[in-house]
Amino acid sequence: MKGLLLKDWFVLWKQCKWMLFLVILYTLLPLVSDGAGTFLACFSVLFMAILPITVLGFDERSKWERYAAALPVSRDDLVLSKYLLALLGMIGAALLYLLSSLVLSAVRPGSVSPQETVSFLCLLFAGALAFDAVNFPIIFRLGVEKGRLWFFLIAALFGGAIGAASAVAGDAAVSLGQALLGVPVWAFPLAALAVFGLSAWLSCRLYARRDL
Amino acid sequence: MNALEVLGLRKNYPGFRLEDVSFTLPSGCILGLIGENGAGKSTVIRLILDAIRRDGGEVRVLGKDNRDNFKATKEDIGVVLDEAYFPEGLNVRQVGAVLRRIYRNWDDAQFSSLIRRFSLPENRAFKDFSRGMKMKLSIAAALAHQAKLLVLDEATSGLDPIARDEIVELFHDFTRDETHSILISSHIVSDLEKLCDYIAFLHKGRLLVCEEKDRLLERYGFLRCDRQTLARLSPAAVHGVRDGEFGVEALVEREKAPSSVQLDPVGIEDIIVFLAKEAGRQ
Repeated sequence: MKGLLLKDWFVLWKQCKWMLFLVILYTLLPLVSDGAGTFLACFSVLFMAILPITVLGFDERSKWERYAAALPVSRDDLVLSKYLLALLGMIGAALLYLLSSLVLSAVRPGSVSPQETVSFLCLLFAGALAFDAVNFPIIFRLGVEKGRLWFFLIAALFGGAIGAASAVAGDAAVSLGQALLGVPVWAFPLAALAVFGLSAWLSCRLYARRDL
Repeated sequence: MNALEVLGLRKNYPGFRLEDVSFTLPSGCILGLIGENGAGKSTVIRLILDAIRRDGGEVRVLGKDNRDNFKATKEDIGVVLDEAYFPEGLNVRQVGAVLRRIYRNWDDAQFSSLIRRFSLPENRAFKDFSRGMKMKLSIAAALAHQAKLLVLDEATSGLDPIARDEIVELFHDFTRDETHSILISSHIVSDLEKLCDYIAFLHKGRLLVCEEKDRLLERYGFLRCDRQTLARLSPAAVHGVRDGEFGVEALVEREKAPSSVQLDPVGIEDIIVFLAKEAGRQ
């Protein structure tokens, strides 16, 4: 798994390093920019959710999976490494945004509520996990090229939903969760993690049957 | 323990069928899998590596079923495919760094030594390599983790004659260890004739012959004669006929031909060409 993650890192750094810089920039911009913080956080976390799909696209183009089939890695390893990459990326982007919000609230008291930020990140994280949970099995079954149409359709649906939610930040995020489902907002990422895990299991089953 | 046992291997595609392919690679030997383009050589190799699902048959690699914890078995298999499929943005150093974390027995010193021997630039992106350089990197990776079995799919294609000769010598050195074996597929018969102990000839998805190279060369002879002379031979002795410059040319099985018939030595390439013709007639 370490070798596979390192390979993905090398690919990302070579092909997408400017995008990685953008993610870092967007998670730190709230320090200097009022109002745009939540939208930028959405972009950062969602982008980290999309990055493993980008890597899968590069893998497909170089037919890496044909060589990977000969390596001492299981098909489950090949699948789970992408789930892990997505998870680490999303957590990293979310933590970076949280950190910048905490710094901002310390430097300018009252400008942002840490509790609101955490609540918002819980929903955002849950949404990003759900996005990958739906997309990954399609891509592992059909490949990136064939799964692209489904990917854009789902991306458009999720983008619209997250964009609308990001306009209602703060207390509304907490209230929305509680009002709609009566469930604490922290339960959303836990539920999404469970779905993410189920998605990983499904992707492993689907990928095991593919000819590489 | 045999390095490789393939029994009744089958795979169906629309328009192509691999039928009941069976062969054994004894430990310490080199088996050449020969066939024309589209014969099914790469399909056989991908089935051995469990990269594609088989429709029937069994495969045992280094004594173990290739569906039983094959991840562990692959630690001892070095693979070179028909093309090198490394991510195009990676360079040699990065490929080494990745494979070091994948193979338990990865040998950095051996990898570096081979990279130097092949004069591969360490910091150039893989996508900027020539085909020959890509194959050399693939071969270096296959030889750098103490593999017991090398599986080579057209590993010498695209290499210049000097590089091919160097690579063939490397493969010879690999099998000096009696526990090391090689399965190599190619349509360049001259490479296989130099290297192999066993020859398996695959034609349109069927294995027409699998035998020790020396026995194959002893078993058949080349006859140039007129049609009347050929007609006197038993049909069972004749395996393929073609029109020659002064009559006909035929591949004849020595044991089934009269001792009075003078047969010339025949090379592997002629044997497979004639066998393919015979198979096409049947």
